[in-house]
Amino acid sequence: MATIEASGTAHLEEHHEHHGPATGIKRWLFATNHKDIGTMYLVFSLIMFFVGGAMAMVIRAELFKPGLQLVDPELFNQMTTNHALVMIFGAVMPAFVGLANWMVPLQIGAPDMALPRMNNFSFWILPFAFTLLLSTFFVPGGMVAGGWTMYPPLVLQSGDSFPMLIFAIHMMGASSIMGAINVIVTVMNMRAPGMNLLKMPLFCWSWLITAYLLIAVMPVLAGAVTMLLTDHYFKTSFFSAAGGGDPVMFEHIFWFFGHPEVYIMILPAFGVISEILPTFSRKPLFGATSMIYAIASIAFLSFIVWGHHMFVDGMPLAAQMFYMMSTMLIAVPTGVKVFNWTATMWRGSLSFEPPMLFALAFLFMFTIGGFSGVMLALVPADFQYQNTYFVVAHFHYVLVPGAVFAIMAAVYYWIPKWTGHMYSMKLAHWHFWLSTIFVNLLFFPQHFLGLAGMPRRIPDYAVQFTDWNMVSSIGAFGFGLSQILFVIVIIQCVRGGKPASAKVWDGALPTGLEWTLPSPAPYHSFTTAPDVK
Amino acid sequence: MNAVDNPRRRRIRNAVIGLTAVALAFYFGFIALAVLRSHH
Amino acid sequence: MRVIRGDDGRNAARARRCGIAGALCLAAFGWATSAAANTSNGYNLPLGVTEVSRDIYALHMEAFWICVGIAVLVFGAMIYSLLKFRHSRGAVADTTLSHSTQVEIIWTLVPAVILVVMAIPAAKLILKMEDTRNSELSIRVTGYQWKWEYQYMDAAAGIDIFSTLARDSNFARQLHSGVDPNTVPNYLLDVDKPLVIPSGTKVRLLLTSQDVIHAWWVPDFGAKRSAVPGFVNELWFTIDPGKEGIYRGQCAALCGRDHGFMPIVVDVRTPDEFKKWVADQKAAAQPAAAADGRTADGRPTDRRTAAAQALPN
Repeated sequence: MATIEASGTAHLEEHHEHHGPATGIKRWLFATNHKDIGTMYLVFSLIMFFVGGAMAMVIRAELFKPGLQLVDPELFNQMTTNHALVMIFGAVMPAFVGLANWMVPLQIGAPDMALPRMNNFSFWILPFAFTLLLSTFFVPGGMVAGGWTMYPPLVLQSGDSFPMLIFAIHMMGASSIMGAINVIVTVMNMRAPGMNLLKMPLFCWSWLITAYLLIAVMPVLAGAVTMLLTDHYFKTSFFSAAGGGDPVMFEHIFWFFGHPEVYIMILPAFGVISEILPTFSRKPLFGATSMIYAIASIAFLSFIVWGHHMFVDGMPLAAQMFYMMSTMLIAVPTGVKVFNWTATMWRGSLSFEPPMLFALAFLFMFTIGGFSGVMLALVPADFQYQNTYFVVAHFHYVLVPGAVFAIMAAVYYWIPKWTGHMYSMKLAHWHFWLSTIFVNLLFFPQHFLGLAGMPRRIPDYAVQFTDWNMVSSIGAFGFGLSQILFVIVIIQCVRGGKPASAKVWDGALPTGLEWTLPSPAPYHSFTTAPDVK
Repeated sequence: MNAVDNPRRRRIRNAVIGLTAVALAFYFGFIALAVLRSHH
Repeated sequence: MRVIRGDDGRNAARARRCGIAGALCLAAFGWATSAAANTSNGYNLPLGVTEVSRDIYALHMEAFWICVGIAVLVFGAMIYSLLKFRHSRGAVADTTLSHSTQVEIIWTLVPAVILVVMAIPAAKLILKMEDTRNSELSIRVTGYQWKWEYQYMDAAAGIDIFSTLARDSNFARQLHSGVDPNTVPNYLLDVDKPLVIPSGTKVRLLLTSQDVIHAWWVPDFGAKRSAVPGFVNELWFTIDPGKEGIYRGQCAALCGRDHGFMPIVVDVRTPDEFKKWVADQKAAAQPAAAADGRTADGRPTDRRTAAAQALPN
């Protein structure tokens, strides 16, 4: 209650009494402070990153050489399915929600999120959702093995894990929707006086738009899996031809969710990069207004391109043409973003602190993912690429050196503000270089594998694919091990280190209200709204 | 203290109701579309 | 990009050198790829043995080179910035350079034009690929967990083939089989009975499935399409005369435990040899068909399959 009043009436009651954090487990269980909840989201996401990563290691170990050495094909399929679910819903999305929790109030000069108790609820759903999802490993029939896309009729062949997966997805969806509502009402109502929308930092902008995407598409996913559930247990036949339904209709509904979902994972990354590049280029973001328009256009286009995931499933000619054109159109605003970031560095004064290094790696490798994306949009070529490792390479390039590197860049950028300590630059540099080298070793050869004809989601392959698979697996083990450095850097930084100044990056040009606060940011910040010029 | 007294709290409440309605509309809307689309 | 590049001559020269080096590098890659005959060389799409597969290859390479061109420009500008505008070398930021409507319009419009250039041949090719008229041989392809069934129609009606993973591959692929896959010929890409088709003939496949969604794919034909239970998808290809031989592919849609173990093998023969093969098959199948309850044209009397074929897509 105290927090709600503080947030709602701070500008009226400047003498409101402030308490420090509660002690022990209560601080976290009953957390309503945006910083505590942000921390919990980020820690949760890091744990899930390792859980999903462990599954990826099983996949890459089995694919190290042809023949089945380690796992049964069924277990392999369980790993690919749950690797995707855990990484998307457990690692990437909560990481960005955690960043939003920490940074949106600090960047707009608000004392907290608008709805702190709902914030607590939307976080605490997640551990339960993922306990449920991961516990399916122990139920008869094992985890769901039909792919994270859950296409019927295959997914309906799952064992007891099937309803558990669906309930877990419903919980994750509820959590995301509440998180999104919270971001929107916070950004729309809690900005400090003078912080008009066009002055608002790009990270908040990207999250505002992302939150709208979430509210539109998470319910669609929930609806799709609900229909799967009724098809399985209540004799409906939404997706069964025998009863007048259509399995391809599930794909339409799923990808109506699924395509905006990929932008949900990348738009906040765009926001992060748009914060970091200007700081370490010591120069304002080039074309900030057109960057906002670009994000908004990408968000709009993301709703009308879903068909490109299903070109081979049988689609009318006109639909193929439409989805090809609309998909290619996304390259235009995305191109504007890449060009504007490049222009931000142009005639700047660049230094290469860890956040900048990760942001630069993002810039190069996300663009590579963009190129393969344009190629995939071409319908005839897509007939050859679809469901091969070329697609795997494409979306991992935009998600790992794309979204995940942006999250790491954000952590390296803001963690001194969170903890009040600088971290070990040396270890962070090692983490960066090892990650960058291994991530390319891991995913670049997968382009070759796909073009040479290796389908995705197979546990074993023809011998001509051996060499590139070995390279890819070595890259995977290296990338996985390198992430241990990330954990070491974070733990060291939380426990101590050189004190960080208020501006943290003193030699560079960090802009935004968060840098007006001392480091670490006080438990209650901006209880009096700051002046925004 | 009263929610209606504070314009910002009223705006927040209305926004939450509106956004929740949008989410529910997408959920039930898509199920309804699927029902209509089935050849039952 | 071009506008900014124009005001620094040295930069332009460097970018040109960069571009030349890159082009040489990639020309070598291009030469290596063009040297590939039919099947993939291990890192690029196959040129293939149909007109469509060659068109797809050309489209793919066109898109690839356009991407390379843009990459050289964009990455060139990024790398140039990284080298030239370093704080450690005393570079001072030009904070006035924060936007330029003119430049932004250019880099909105130029990519749009490039995309149109890519989309036109793609759209033409879609029209060609979708034209399933005037096929000379139709074959119904049914996916099962985990095998393919080929039911011939038209002149070859009555022939019905189940195609499953070859026995030696199937043995070697078992967990802890102790068999080195390298010793198995065409490991995972061989079947007991391949699909036999004539070259120089427009073959149309009608794809469906009896259980879950599968996808039929032979890279050398540039042909991939899903087999959806209860629906029929169409696909066609004409193998170049003179390119007779064995072509291999795999299921391209996750279809359960043994998704990786239901390959597709197509034995392409000359029309004459194909006719002879059809006659042999029919002679061998005649007594069997009467016994196992199939209709005269070789279709099974399964109600669901028949219903599925009648449904509009």
